[in-house]
Amino acid sequence: MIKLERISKSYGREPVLDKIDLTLDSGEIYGLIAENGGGKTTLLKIASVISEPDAGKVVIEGVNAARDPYYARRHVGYVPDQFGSYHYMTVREYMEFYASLCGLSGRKAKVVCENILGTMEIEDDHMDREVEKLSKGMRQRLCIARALIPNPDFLVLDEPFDGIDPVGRRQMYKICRNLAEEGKIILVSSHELGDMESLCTRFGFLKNGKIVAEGGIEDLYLQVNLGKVLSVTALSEVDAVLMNDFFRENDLITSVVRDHMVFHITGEFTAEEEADLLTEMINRKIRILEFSHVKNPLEEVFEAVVGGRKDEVVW
Amino acid sequence: MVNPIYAKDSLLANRSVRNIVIILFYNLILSIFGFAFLLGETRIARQSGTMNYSEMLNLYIIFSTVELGLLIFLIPGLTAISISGEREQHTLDLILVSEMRPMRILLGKLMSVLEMVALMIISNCPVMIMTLAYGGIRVREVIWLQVSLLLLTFTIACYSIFFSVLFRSSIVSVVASYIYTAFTSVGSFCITYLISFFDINSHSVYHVFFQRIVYLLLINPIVSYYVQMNSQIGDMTAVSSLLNMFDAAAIADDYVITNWFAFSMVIQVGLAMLALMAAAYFLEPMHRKVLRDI
Repeated sequence: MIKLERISKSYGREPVLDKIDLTLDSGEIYGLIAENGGGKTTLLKIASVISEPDAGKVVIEGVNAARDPYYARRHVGYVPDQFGSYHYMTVREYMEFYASLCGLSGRKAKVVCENILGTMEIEDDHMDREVEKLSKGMRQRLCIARALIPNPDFLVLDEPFDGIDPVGRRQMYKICRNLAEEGKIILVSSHELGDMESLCTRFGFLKNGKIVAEGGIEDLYLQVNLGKVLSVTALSEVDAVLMNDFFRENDLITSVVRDHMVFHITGEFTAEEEADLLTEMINRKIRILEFSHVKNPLEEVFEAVVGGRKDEVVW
Repeated sequence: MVNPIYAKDSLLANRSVRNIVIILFYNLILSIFGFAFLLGETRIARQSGTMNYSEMLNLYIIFSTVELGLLIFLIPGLTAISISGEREQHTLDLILVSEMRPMRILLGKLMSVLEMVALMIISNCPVMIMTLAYGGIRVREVIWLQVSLLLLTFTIACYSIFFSVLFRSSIVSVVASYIYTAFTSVGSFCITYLISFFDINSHSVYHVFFQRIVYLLLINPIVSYYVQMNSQIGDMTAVSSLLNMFDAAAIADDYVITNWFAFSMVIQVGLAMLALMAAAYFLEPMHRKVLRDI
């Protein structure tokens, strides 16, 4: 178990983190979400014991990291947001170098590295290639492989999906889920909310240095009182005007966000009410191109909790 | 087990062209000075019809002085990027999150610089041997001088590493290292000179105290080299001429003055070790807050 207790940190007079409490249990994949500069990387570095908080403590496997940082770090695998490597270093050398930093050498280091690279689906023919010449997805997997060398209980991933193609992302999900199944705790931050939703079991939204909303996706919907979000697309401008009037009259709808012909309507709808809404629009001869549930509710939570909506708010 | 940082730096340095170029230029510059000196001596010998072999001792002084100058010029540039460079390559956090202790990380960095300088010194042997051909200097003295140059490397490398830990940017840490090197080798001399100048001219009652300002020169690597070199070529008056310059002849019999070289080495190495320990303290991420609070 990892506990972050009342963590505060500021840069100069600018507070970045303000009394943050976070407890992570084994097998959990926790997604940390915030705006740019919202303190995600700072919190991840503090959790990885490579940055000291101004106040509060990090407890890893029952040990206060400030008291024994070396013990704490033995349990942490850290994947930074920027891939660090050296010129002219091959994949094999890269892995063996980090193995040697963890006290492994010779045959043992080789076996550990090969096993981990196998788990990460990095084939043998990549072993003698220079790290800097690998694809971004491959590099990211290599970075996770490096972080797994000390067999950590706690894996910290900062923006792991950045710049990776969909196939690479699916591989990353699989790897992370397998690691969580092994009992590892994964703390991940990303701007890619779709990835986060596919991967994480619990989310925390960071705003003004505090975790303002936390929980599984259903809990978050209740916490931020979002209701259900439906996406309705009008066929033409005339239909859009009629649709706007109709939504304005409807008491079930609590908010409408319009982007040209597309309306995102929010309310506490039951399935019957949704069906009635659709029927009523058809009866009013409003031509509808699309009527669906919003596919990425996490983004809606993010917009509600962390930032304002960018497009036109109708009312 | 070999220090992993040293092993990595050594491996990568051997693959890059940088070290080869540095060693090439190091030897090239020494060879140019040696060749120019021999050419001049030959020309004089042709004109005068006699060869003064005692002049050949100057070749040793020239080589050693150029070596000292090159090391003072090169080491801050090579070492002050050791930690800040890792930080800029985004690899420092990956090292820090491992089980490596900060002191071991720094020792690895230090070893790779010392290895580089040892390589430079060894590669320079064929050129240095020329000074032995004409007599006047012994192998033991040449070896002893090279050991002192390695100690000098150690001291400059230690505080360059300290600046490398202290500053995030490599450019800042390199500049800070050069400023500190300039302070110890030139600045300390200027300060001593200025203080003694005002002390002499003011006929101060504190002259007994102020003449001891000459001890500030114990941190000066060029003065240490000057004392050592003079002792090697048989001139034992180096320290007393220094004392005369600062009107401090009265303290000529002080224990520190009579053992100047040994004391200067102990002080310089001691300060360097303190800088290394401070660097190790500040490299530990859980102590960085102290730096921010300064």
